[in-house]
Amino acid sequence: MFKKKFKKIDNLFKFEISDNVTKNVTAFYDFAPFPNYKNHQNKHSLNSIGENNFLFKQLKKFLGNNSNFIEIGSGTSQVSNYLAYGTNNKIYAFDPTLKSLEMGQLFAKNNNINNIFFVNADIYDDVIESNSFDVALCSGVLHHTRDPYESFSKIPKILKKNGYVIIGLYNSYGRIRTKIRRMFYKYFGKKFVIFFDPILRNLNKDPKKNAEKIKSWINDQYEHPVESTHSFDEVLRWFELHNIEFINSIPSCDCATSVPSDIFKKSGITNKMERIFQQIRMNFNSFGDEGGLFIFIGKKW
Amino acid sequence: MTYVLGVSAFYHDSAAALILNGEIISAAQEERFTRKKHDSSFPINAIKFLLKDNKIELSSIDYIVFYEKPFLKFERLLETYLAFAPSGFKSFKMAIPIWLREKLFQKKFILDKLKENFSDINKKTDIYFSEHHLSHAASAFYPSPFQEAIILTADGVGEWTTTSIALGKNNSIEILDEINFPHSLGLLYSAFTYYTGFEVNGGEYKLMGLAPYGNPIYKDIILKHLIEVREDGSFKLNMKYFNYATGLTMTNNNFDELFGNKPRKKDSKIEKFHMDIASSIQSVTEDIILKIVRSLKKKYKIDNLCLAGGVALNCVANGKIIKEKIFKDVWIQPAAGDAGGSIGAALAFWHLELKKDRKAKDNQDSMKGSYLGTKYSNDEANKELDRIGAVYEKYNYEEMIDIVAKEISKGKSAGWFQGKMEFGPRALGARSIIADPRDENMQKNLNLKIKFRESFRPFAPAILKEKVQEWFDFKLTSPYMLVVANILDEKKIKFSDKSYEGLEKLKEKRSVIPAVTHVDYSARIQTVDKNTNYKFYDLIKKFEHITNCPILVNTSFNVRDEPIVNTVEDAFKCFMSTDLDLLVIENSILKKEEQFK
Repeated sequence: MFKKKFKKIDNLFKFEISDNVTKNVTAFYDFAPFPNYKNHQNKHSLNSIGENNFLFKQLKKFLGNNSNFIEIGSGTSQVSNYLAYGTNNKIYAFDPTLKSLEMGQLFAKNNNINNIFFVNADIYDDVIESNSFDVALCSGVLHHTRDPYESFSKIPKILKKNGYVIIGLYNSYGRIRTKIRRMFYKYFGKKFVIFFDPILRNLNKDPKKNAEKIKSWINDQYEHPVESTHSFDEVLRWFELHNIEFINSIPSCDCATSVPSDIFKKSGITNKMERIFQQIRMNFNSFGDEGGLFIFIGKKW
Repeated sequence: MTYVLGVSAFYHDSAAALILNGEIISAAQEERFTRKKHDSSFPINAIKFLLKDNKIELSSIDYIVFYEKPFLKFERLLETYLAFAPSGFKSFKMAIPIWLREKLFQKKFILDKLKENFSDINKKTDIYFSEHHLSHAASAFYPSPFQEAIILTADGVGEWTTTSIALGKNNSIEILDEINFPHSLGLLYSAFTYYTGFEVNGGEYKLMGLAPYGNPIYKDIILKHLIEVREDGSFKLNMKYFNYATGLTMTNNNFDELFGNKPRKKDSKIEKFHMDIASSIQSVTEDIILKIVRSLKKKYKIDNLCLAGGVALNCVANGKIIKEKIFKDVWIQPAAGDAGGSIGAALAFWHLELKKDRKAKDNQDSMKGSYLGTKYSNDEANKELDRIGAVYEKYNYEEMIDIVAKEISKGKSAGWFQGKMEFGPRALGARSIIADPRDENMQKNLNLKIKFRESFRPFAPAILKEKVQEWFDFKLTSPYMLVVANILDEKKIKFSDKSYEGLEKLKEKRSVIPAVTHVDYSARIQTVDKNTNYKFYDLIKKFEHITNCPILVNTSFNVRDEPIVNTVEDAFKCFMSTDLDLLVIENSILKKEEQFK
């Protein structure tokens, strides 16, 4: 599975990290692990949360059993723990921030989830053998790396033939609202965004109960030291350069469909105008509310 | 060869049942296929299973019977809204469009659904309609071992009826008396289910399980303000305290003021108050049922009693009916809730509409142990296990029984997946989780680490039929786990001097089989008969051989908020999701630690 030397602590594999930007980001998450586990959360309640998430529920169903899966940039590994729960899949949670991974590891240990492994490494360091995974997920991560394309180009290699990649990135058009708010945040701070960010506005209805979530959201959306945005066409180009066949996207490339009902079912890329329209539209629906993240799913030839 | 398909749907627990020449041959609940607990949608998957299982097409079905009359139900709804107007407008606004769109014209809706799914639907296929409580009464009487019986059905509400009394004789059922909406024992119990923070139409048995932790100190208040009970057990509710007739909740502010608290929020702490409330309503319910049953015996002087309807799932009340020996014999439909209405509708049509004879078998009902669902052969099960990449060992039958009994005796818990799936809410040794009842920590472990449910919930003992009198104060059989009885004094362990309150009572060991003895020394018994489930019988027998204890913990093979497992894949998923040690599917055994190698 691994090409380089590592230190093993139970089911956690620790590698040396050399990249300075990664170290910066790691320091940021060391200070604010994201997302945190709730008090008294167990695998059953985590599963209920996962089952209510459109993307992750479909992903779990798609993985079925006996698959090898990796989540690159797993943070505290809530998604990985959810995907491991109740299956015999081998789930690898990969992240450069040791503190975040340790939180996931503790949750897995306390809940007797035995088919999850934690990899503390940097995507740039190329520590994983080629052709290892059936599915790789990398959502909300590449836009926080020094060179998102270079980071992405590491993923196809570790996929098996016919393996699937799912990437989630901030959209150049869909994140306009957040970008404007980020500008104002610099000058006016939390007071401003708490009213103008729809997610924070909702969380602020019960500020005591949601204090942790408010802090995490502000950190992730407004204070992150490294951030870039990307378009549908840019990712289509990335896919093409790495022999990845486009399968589907959220939001859909097709104007007639906002969100595809089956995200692993092959759909068309439509035309450039339609794609731009769909991305601009993100600002006027929940995608824009949630920071303009879009998902692309591809299959390795 | 006449096939009658019975269907129940659109309220909760939809199901389908197939009878051939009057014999129940298959039945299943839709929730098992859709994996949505208490699913109320049209049971298309259950129907597909029935046809496949019996190797027939839809065109082979002679009659399709729905378990209730939608127009009568709609009439009740309209009249209720009119009677309570203008209050209830909000609920009216929500309910009426759904009724007009989906529920009122059910005949067309059902035929359209069948056409969508079966190309061979016969143009002449027609849908017949039974009545809700007639379906319940038929499900209780026709499969029973009695040629003549008084039938008592009680639930929330059907069309108008909430409680019915009928006389079953040979192939006829004659309705003798009824209590109508809004006066309902089922809805009264559901109102308290809601008030104590459990889910209506599903959480009622949690309320029943909570009752022994409390004291019935609110009983007098309930009898004084909420319900007027007459000597014959008939009753009238004081609607000043309830909101269910037209509102979106079960109870109202008057109810809260009467007891001095707001309804408990789901997942908030269960206090002594809630336990006392549970104990009080349980006691009132038992009193009413016993009054009704006594008056029925006095009035009709018939030896046998049949029970169905959701209220008949109150196994504590059932146990008291049996203990008092009011009737010589009692038979309860195992799928007493609305799912069982599918069987009742089909049987009512067969005997009442087609006027077919009926001959009850002495001492044997015709429910086939309620094992009426999906099944896998050894080869089919192993093929599925291979497909999902499970690691398992194949054994012959005797080896499998040997290994499982030994492992259970060492404190291991197992998922037990054998033969045809049960029809009804109880797992009876086909889709069960089994464990050692002697283990002090088993109740807590099973509740918290395997079922992920409230720690107070009791577990049921499955005991060899011939041994039941050696362990419990119970001399009959209870194949469907629908009766509660007390453990014998010599098996009890007296409580220590420490006085425990509420859930702390769980800390006491209570008996030599603590995992299946509730805090009031009661247990919801399943007697296991070699003739109806030989595998489960053999396993318990082997366990007895090792431990001198002819009892196993038997709880449904599922986790909280999920239906009982149906397929091999469901079982594997549940096994992998929990701290179960073993999964036994037919003759194959899976060990948890080997799944990750």
